[in-house]
Amino acid sequence: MGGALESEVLARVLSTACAVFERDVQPHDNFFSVGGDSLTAVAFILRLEAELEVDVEADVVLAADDFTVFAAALSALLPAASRAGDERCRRPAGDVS
Amino acid sequence: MKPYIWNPWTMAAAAPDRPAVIADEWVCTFGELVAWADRLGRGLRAVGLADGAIVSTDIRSGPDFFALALATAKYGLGLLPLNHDLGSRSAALSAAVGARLHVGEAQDSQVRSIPIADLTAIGTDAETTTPRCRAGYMVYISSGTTGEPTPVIRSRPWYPYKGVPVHPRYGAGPSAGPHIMSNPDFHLGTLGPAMYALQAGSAVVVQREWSPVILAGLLDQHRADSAFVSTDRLADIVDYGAWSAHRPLAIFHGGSACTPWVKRAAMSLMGPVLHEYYGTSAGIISEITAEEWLRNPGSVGRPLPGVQVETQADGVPQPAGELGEICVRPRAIDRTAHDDLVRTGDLGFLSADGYLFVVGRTSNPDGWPCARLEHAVRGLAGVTDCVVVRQSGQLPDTVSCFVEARLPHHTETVTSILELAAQIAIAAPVVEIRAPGCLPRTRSGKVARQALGAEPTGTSG
Repeated sequence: MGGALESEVLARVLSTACAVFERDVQPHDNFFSVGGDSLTAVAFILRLEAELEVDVEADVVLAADDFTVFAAALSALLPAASRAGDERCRRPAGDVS
Repeated sequence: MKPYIWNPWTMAAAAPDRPAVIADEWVCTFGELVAWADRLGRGLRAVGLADGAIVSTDIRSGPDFFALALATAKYGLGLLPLNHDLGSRSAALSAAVGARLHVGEAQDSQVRSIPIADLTAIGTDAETTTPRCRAGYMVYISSGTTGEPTPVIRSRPWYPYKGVPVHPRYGAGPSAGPHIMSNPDFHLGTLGPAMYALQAGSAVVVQREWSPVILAGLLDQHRADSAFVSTDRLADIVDYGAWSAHRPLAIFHGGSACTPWVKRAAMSLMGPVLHEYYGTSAGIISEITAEEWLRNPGSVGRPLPGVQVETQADGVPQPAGELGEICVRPRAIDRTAHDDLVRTGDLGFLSADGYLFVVGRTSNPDGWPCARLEHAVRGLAGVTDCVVVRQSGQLPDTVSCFVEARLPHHTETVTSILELAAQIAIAAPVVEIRAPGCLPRTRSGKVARQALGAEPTGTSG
């Protein structure tokens, strides 16, 4: 897997997490340590799915040790075209809630 | 189907005439309920309650109660529901949690009381702006096993009120059938699933009087998709031996241990729809579906994501399979300043693959023989409940084993219990077998241990 794509996905994950949790979120923060619960998990997933156009299962979010691990798992879920450099991961962040 | 977020206001916008709460002859729609909740919320703020203040109420389960519950959730207040059986203790409990207002019948306390009709009128005339605030929270009275009602303040969400995540496995949602609140009392076990279903878009039907026949009738009449049934009432249903023609999607149970015999019998009646919770009044610790339980019989499931569970003996974490007190580190969002590590007072063990098994209470720490015997007896055929207590006021100490069991199992059950006791080095326990439903119970369905002479233990949900 390309490191560049993973970094881009991590940046997108963190910006989305900052918006959902209304606080600064770091790569090694854990979903629960920043105040995550079943409701915010759904809000987080819905926003990520809209931004990245990929299906995200709640278990992937909940099981990840931190957002870096989650971003790596998410990168692997992206379609091959994205992994080859598709622009969809680079869309500007917007309010998609 | 993917989970999504829903709440009664969204439901009212989509289908204002959909029934939201049905109690006795009173049917309140989602449109009516949220309009009432907004009036109450504005009224609570208009009478001067600050953000986060606690409101107590003795209103019975019904549309007025649920309107108040939604109002406190949306308008950022705490709600302490009080059951009528608390009597004069209600006022003391309201005062103990620092309630600023009591909604309902006047209390004999310093907490100001207001009838809900007056509060509604104030809210009708108040400004219509909704404050931007964190969501409200609940305060539950722990029924526990100690006999003394204890208020437990749940943590408050850091975000504004949004609703609940709707997942099909919970049998509630904007297109799902109603939820039957088969016990109208207020506990985490009864009110939690009802509030979830209502917020997910399902109607809540309040069952005032308990009997398996009435529950089955309500399930059929309303084509309900979910219900909460406490463990003792699950045993009643098994004893009755029949179930509704309409098949609900989820029957929740929890609050006390269910014997494997009862659970298997219930599943043979209802199908694999039992969904069990384990937790305290402060929060849910684990859950287990029927399918998981059949693979791990006797377990209360794996801890919820983000919840850490360990068993401790003498303060030392125990490896898989070893008995210890069940200790919990709640999710960060559920923690208060006091509960980084919550001691449940329950005895149990974790399996190698992380399933939690609850054995009993942690009283008598000398190897926990009473809890171990209780757990062993619960596994016997025909046993619907069991409590083993040491009555230390007598000399020598007496171990009494109170068992509810169905005929024709009585004789063989006594023989088996004496054999099990001998294996655990309990000499000659007094064994008393009663018919199902004959042990004294708290209003939430737990066996009232102190009424059987048990020594006091810690609090439990």
